Amino acid sequence: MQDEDREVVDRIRAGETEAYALLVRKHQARIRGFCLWTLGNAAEADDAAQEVFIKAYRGLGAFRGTAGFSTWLHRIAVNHCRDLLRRRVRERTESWDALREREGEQAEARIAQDPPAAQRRQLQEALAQLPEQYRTILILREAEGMSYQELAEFLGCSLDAVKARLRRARSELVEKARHFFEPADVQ
Amino acid sequence: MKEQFPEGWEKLARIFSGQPAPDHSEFFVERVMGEVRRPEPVRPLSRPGGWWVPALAPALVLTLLVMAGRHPMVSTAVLLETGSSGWVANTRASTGGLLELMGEGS
Repeated sequence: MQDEDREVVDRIRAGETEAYALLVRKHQARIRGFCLWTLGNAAEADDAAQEVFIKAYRGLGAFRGTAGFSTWLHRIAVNHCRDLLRRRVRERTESWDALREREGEQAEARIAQDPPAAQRRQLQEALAQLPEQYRTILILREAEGMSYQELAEFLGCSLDAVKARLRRARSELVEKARHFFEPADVQ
Repeated sequence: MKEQFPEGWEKLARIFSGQPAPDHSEFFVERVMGEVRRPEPVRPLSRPGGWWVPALAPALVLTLLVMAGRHPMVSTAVLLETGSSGWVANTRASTGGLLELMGEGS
């Protein structure tokens, strides 16, 4: 799979710009999903994912191929979302009450009719409270389904270090989640 | 060795995995490709001749200061303050600069 990506990258470097659409089609769902979990807003996530793909295209010269294209793309996504979160701290920490106030009763009714959506929103609120390194590893593992091996490659550390960081991240998320969920939901 | 999960984690993990991945969107692909096909915008300072704006900025500020010295309000104030010697000073200011005017007038 990684060899396929490298082959496409070589074609793009050789001047076949349109081949980049193959990589966008293949990786868009995961990158948009990562941005959605990190930023918590679908429109903002799609804008961010678009920027990630454009940055990746313009930086293809720096892609050495030592790690997979997907891993490299996720690194760009992590950095880009970090920048956005720093710039938009107020949006990131927007409270549940502020969301209700802004979107009104319609949003409240829509979420009330969709309990999984409400839970995801609460989970995103809890995630937003975590240190970045924990938030990122949780999204990559739990939402993106990255293997431990992929995570080790992504983070540049050992499998044991990945497991230890995940363990701490999960514990901290459970703690944070207690503030956002009913007690029965996290016990 | 079986991995140990914190108490309560299982339910959170289910919420994570319950989020559907975004649908494939050809519109998204086209958005990206539209940007990729577009040539990168050229930065203004890298254009030939673009260097002169910052280079001439100090001269521009000095000109504005001198023009402010010739302003009727400033000239009138100097004449009232210093009498006939002020007229001389004001004339010098027109050719010599605002700093000289301030030195004579005080």
